[in-house]
Amino acid sequence: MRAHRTPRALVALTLGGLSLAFAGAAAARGPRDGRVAVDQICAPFGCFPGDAPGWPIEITQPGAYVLTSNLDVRAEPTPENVTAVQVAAPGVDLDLGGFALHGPVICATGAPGSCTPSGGTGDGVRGTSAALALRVHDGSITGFGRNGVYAEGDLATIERVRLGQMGSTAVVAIGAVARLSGLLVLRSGGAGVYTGGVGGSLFDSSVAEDALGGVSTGDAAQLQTVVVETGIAGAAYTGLGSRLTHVEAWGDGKAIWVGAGSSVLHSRAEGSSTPYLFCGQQAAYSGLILTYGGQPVVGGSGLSLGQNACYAGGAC
Amino acid sequence: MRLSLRLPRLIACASLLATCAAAGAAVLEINQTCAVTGGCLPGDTGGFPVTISQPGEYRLTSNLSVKNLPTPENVTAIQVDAADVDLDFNGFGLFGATTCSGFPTTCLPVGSGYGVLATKPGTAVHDGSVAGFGAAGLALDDGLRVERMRLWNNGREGLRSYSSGGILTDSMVFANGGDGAHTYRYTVVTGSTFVANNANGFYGDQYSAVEESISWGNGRRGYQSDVSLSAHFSVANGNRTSGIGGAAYGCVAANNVLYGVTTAVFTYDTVILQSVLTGNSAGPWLSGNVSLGQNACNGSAC
Repeated sequence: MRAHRTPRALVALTLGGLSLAFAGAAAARGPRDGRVAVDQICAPFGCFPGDAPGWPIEITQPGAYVLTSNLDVRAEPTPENVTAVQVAAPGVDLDLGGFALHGPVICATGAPGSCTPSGGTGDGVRGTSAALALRVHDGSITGFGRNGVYAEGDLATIERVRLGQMGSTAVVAIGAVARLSGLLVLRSGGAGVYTGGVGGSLFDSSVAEDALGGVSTGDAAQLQTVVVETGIAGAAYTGLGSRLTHVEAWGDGKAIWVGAGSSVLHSRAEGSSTPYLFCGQQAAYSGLILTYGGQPVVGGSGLSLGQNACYAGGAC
Repeated sequence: MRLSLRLPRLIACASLLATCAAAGAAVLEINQTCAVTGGCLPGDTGGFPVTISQPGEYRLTSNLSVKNLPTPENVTAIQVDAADVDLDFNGFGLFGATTCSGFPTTCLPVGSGYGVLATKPGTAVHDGSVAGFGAAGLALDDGLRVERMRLWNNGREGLRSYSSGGILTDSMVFANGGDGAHTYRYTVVTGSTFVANNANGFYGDQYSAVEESISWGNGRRGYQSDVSLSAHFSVANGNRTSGIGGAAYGCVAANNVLYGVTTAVFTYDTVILQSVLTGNSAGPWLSGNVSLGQNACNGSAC
């Protein structure tokens, strides 16, 4: 949904050609490396050809784009339904430039899921199915009504982004082969990270205090060097034939939950209830610490390959 | 093939060289405007390919598209004829007209054009996309370095090298018409994903190491080698022949049409350690001189 124009936008449109002066002004202020600048000032008027006035800023051509200011939708009517940037072209690189996208949602500390306003439909960055190979990197996204990043196309890359306090899941990448790394995800009303397509990867990230789970992936995924926490079961949940290595997971039961034929190595699964690790058929694990609340430490049908430390039982 | 765009060049050469190549700057710029008019760089005479003939740092400042040229499948976007070139894609991409579809992937039209063709050693390519070229997306010489690239829908390989020494890092290689990446020898692959390519996901002819990578749904093996390959903490899933053609340490090889793990083509020994091999149609591994430790084969110790 396109948000209502701000009064400032209406004034500019009334002045006819003046709006054209705003359109493209960000590019004039932007970096001199050819990337297209995106900022708060041009948003009401259209930042570049193909972007209609108002939110969201619409990227419809492949290329490299860079934020040159924060983007803040909080002044809009029903800002929880406003998307800041929508991408509908392949091969788009969106450099947040160290800046932030701000929405209105605030989630209470210590009360997962208590996020207001609730039920919003706006995303920080929304990639449609046409947005093949979308890359979003180097900045912050906070407080949007639905997702921080929603990427529907294959080959999405999200790197070095801090996300928090979304109305729903912070990162949703439903296309195949999503690659996420360097994410700091905190306190959203939904889950932390969801990669629904095959072959998703999450590296070097921290995902915590999200209401409806930590990290969830499709098949043939890998989690490597990830800290993940949730107050419910399934902090780290993967599909079939996936690989988890160097994962520190805390959940209220089934801190790590892996699909059939998956591998969990050199990791820790803890929680206040058991089991800490739940395995689909023909999955296996080794080098784990499985502890805190009692026995049994493992559920499902996983095969221990040895060298594990289990609750009050030593090696297992 | 160099296109005939000579006349505009005579008019625009002086001014465009000043703006496109950012005269005096340490990093020289390449973009579509200078590519199709006066040439982007000293020694580059305009038209495709943009020719890099001096060592140094270069940066894309727009996409380069050859889509609208005659027979775009035979057009190369950038040719590197100098050693030690760093090519920063700056978030931009090289785009051709070839598209790929189906499974196994087939691509049309196939031709002789590359996204980047390097004829000298030491080319680094990073931070962008290469899609839709008639031959390979990237064809590089000795000492290649490819980082944070997305390579898809190229008529042959996403990355091809016949030379020695290479690093492929944090890249995604998807739906190309040949191998996802095919290098000659001494290649290190980390944090990369090879999906739905027509042939092998990654094919390192000799002495390659793969770490923290995924190879899924490729037309042949997930990771392939003629002589020696070691895969560490990686996934090979759903490939049309075997998963891993080499050693497997901490890997998952699942649901491949032949074996989970085999030896390289011309060697007879391998090791499988702390790996999960499950649901592979011909068996967990190809019989031979295989050393096993702490593995799970279809849910049982093996």
